[in-house]
Amino acid sequence: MKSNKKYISWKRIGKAWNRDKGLIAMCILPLMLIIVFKYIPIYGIVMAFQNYTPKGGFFHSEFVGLKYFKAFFADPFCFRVIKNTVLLSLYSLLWRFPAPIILALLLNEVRNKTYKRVVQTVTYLPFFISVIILVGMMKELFSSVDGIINSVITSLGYNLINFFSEPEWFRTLYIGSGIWQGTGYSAIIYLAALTGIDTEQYEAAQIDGANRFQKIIYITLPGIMPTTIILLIMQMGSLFSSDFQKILLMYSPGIYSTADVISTYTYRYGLERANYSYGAAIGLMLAIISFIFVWIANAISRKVTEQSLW
Amino acid sequence: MICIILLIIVVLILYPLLYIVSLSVSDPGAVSRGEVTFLPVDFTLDTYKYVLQDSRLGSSYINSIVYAVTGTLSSVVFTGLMAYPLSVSSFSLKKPLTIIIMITMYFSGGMIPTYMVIKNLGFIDTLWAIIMPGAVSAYNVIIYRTFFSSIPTALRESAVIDGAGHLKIYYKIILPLSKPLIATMSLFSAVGLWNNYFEPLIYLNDYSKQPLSLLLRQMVIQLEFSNQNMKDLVQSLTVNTRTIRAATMLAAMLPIMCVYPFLQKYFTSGMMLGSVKG
Amino acid sequence: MKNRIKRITSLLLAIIMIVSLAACNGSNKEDTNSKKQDPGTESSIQEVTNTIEDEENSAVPITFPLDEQITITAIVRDFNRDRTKYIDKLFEQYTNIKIEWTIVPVTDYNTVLNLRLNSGEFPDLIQINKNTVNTFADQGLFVNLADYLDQMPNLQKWIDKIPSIYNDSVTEEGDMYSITTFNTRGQVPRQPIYREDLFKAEGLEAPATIDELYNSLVILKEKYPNSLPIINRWGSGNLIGHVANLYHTKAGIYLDNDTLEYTYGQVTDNFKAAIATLQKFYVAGLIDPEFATISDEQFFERILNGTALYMFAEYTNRMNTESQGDWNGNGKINNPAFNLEVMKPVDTEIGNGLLSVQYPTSRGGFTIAVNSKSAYINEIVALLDYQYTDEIIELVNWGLEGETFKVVDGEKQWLIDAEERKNLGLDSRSGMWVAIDQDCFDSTLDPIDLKTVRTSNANLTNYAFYEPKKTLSFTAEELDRISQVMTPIDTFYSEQIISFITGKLNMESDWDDFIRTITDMGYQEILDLYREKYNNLPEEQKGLDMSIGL
Repeated sequence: MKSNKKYISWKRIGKAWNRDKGLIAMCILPLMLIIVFKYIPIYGIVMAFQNYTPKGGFFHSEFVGLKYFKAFFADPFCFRVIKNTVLLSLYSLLWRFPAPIILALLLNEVRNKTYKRVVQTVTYLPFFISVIILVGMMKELFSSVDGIINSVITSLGYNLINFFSEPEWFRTLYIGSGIWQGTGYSAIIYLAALTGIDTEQYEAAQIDGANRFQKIIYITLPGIMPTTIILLIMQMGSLFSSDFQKILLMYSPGIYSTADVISTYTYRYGLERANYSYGAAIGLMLAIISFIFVWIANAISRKVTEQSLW
Repeated sequence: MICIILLIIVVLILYPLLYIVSLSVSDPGAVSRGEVTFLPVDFTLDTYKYVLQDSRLGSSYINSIVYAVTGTLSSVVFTGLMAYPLSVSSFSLKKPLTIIIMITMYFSGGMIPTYMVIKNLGFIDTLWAIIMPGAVSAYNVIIYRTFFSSIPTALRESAVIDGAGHLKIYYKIILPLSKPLIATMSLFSAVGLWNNYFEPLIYLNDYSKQPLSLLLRQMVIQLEFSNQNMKDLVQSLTVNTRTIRAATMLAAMLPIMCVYPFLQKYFTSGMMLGSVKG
Repeated sequence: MKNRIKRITSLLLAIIMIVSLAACNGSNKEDTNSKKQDPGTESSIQEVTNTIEDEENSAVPITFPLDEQITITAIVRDFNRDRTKYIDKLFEQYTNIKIEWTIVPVTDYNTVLNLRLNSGEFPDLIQINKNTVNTFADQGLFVNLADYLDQMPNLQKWIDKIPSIYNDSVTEEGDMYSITTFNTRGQVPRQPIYREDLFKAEGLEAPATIDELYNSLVILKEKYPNSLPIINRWGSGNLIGHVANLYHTKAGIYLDNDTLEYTYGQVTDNFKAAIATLQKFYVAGLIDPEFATISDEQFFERILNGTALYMFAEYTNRMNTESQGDWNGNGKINNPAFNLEVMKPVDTEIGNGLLSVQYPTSRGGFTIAVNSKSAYINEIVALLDYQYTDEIIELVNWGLEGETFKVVDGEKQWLIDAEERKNLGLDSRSGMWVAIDQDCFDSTLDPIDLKTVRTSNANLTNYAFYEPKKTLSFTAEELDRISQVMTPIDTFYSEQIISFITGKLNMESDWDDFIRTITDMGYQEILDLYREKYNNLPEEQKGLDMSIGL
């Protein structure tokens, strides 16, 4: 296949066309959708390099080059917010990625169908709780004045913890609530992947005398490996995004040192006026970096596991 | 053992959920006094009456259902059609198309150009603005492709020998074997569309076309004000109660929550048992 | 084979080209925001003739209802209601203008509006704010209402009464691209509130000075160890702001009431004194440890269950009015002795304690602008002016005499209850931000609260922290520069100040370093900008706005 790319002749193209014309016909319409709604607007990226005004539009606004990029990197807090964003995402990844897999594996082991269904449904409900209600509940639960968690802590002999005012606790609260809210919902896709594993393999392993644990390690996990790897690679591209709404509700100046991320900082930056060019510049920069991360993850994965996005 | 772990998880989840339900049926005064900890206090259905009586609620429910159903349909159809060719290893355009799609996952022109495209297509204030832009997302295409790739090529090859074209293979063999995938992605798509407020926010002027998610956004004002005067002004114009928030959230959740149990029957294993002999 | 490839490729290219052309043409297309009938050549000539006529007879006023109904478009914040209520229909009748509303949730309003403005397409009439207007003003997007002022006698009347309506709307060059919204008068909505019953039980009077407050709270904290004497919501900035006001200062750049100079509060001695006081109170356990983070619900809970004893400045109408929360009513349910009362701000060594008042205008925060490409500019300008007449203000706020209200001894009284008012749409929101009748709002209050606010209003000269006569205008570049310099400074300041308040940092040894860092971060540049703009103002726009339209 690779050598085909090296030299293209009409004959080869003709052969490929004949073989693939059905496939091309299938994807032509979706491809059009992608081109129209995703590629045509891409000219808007120039806004990151312009002093955009509606009068000038995209083609006549003053070109300012890297002005906004420079402004961002000249900001004294630039490094801190980048660090907070990346750390938050990495820790999130570390804790939130395995959780749905584990839940799916646990559910898979349940024999009783009804029990399995009930648990499945219950675990996926928190996903629908709006972020305002979620944070409101957290603030009550973890209050240092009248929260349950602190009463338990003090009854065990420890000091009160003012959770929402201590920078060290922010990430734990953010990730913990994320796990609580999202695990059940994210597990669904792994459950779907689990159904694709051939049950004959389990039967064969049973005959060979494998116990439950061994079955999981040697059959189940490899069975969902393709899905897992692909999802993991794609997550690499989200290293610079964060749940803006949630952080906005959870944070306060006292915990800026861990909680202030790129999106919240630029939000305060843009409170007086919506400078689209500035936003576009930041967005473009983050997109490039995210894409590079995905590229690297993809290359590593291709070498190590032979699974890759492309 | 596993059952015990799962039971703990269920309790950890149910407790806060029931708390929210209690909030929605408790007397607002009792709620503001902090008397509601788990069970309802002074049970009342007034909050629900207030929420359900809003004249815009009925139409926004219907709008949400329409958007969710049509959007899910178009998403599943188009994403599948895009993903299947990418899962055929012999497809000549596989790599270039994958890269084209991956680029869209990270780079976009932004709100303004997208808005201009929608405007020039005449889609403003229509259903299409809501469901078309997101119909084919790179993320979904990759997931579909991964699932399609896991279907043994032997099945595909036997159909080719029988003289079937690509579309027929897709329709008759691949799709039926992908029921768990379709079920999952339909669910994700429907939930996403149901909760989505952003596209309706910027593309719909006529608010009789508003979905429920947008209506709910009107109930909660969450803003920083640049001067105290603005704060004072808004204060006198709005009264936010916690019970209303809980009730509206639950009212919005209910329909979409009920979709999952229906789809669970597709999550049984052994779909491919007996399909490949020898 | 080759031909087929070529054909399909060219077909694909053609489709792509057509679609991209359609998209790129967007910026050249004419805006079609007013729903006029299809303009054939005849009506265009008609239009031109009309304009010429108008210019000749510029004195011919437009009267309402219009002879011929027109339809205009407008975009507003929703504040949780649609525009199909009884009063909206009456409004349409009175004006004979059909308004097609685009209603946007308040939280997202600026996002949507900015998107529309930047895409070059927006409705005839928009709610906006002064900074955004200034950003776009030099591009001719909005009608310069200064040219139409002589056609707006009713607005003129209000400007005579409340000059800041004009001052806050006009630019340095005398252009007026939007009108700031306003209420019929200002008020003093917030005051210190305390648990009068608990103070009385210890034989304590309402404290008059900050030291008396400290001593009283220490005594009460000893008696009630689980109480949180001072509570606060809306974050640390709120608490700091109130206490700073007591010391005649505030955080940020403001016009100093005593020196009449623009000052950066954080670097003043008064501010240092305010923070020192806060630290003293916090270390003594007199401030809620969660003062910077609690939600509104937690705040109300702490008031109602008796944990809180004192608030520096809260809305007084929440104490007894049912629609606003009825704190006393709720508190008495579990504790019959519960009684919250208002007191005046405590005095400090600087002088008498001040607090901020509510001005009639939004000071540029909410303004109304007209699309310069609208087909109905004259009508819309006339509509805006019509909104400032007493009839419309009465219609939108009170309704119809005899139907919804009656006049007794010169005072208006309601004939319908709150539920009915809501159903009819009598919430002062009809039209395009018609002036909110403050008397009307007051009439919905509990008599005790009404008396409170009236007394506060009457005494405001004793403790008002005044705003300047004119809120300064900034260009887009200036706003960007302000963002660039002040965002890191504000971030640093707001983080550090919490450490000072909680006592982690020492007022004596660490404060000077703190000030030095802020100075090095370059606030002086922005302060000079403010001062320069202020000095360039005409004399009648300088100084403090001491009237709130009462």
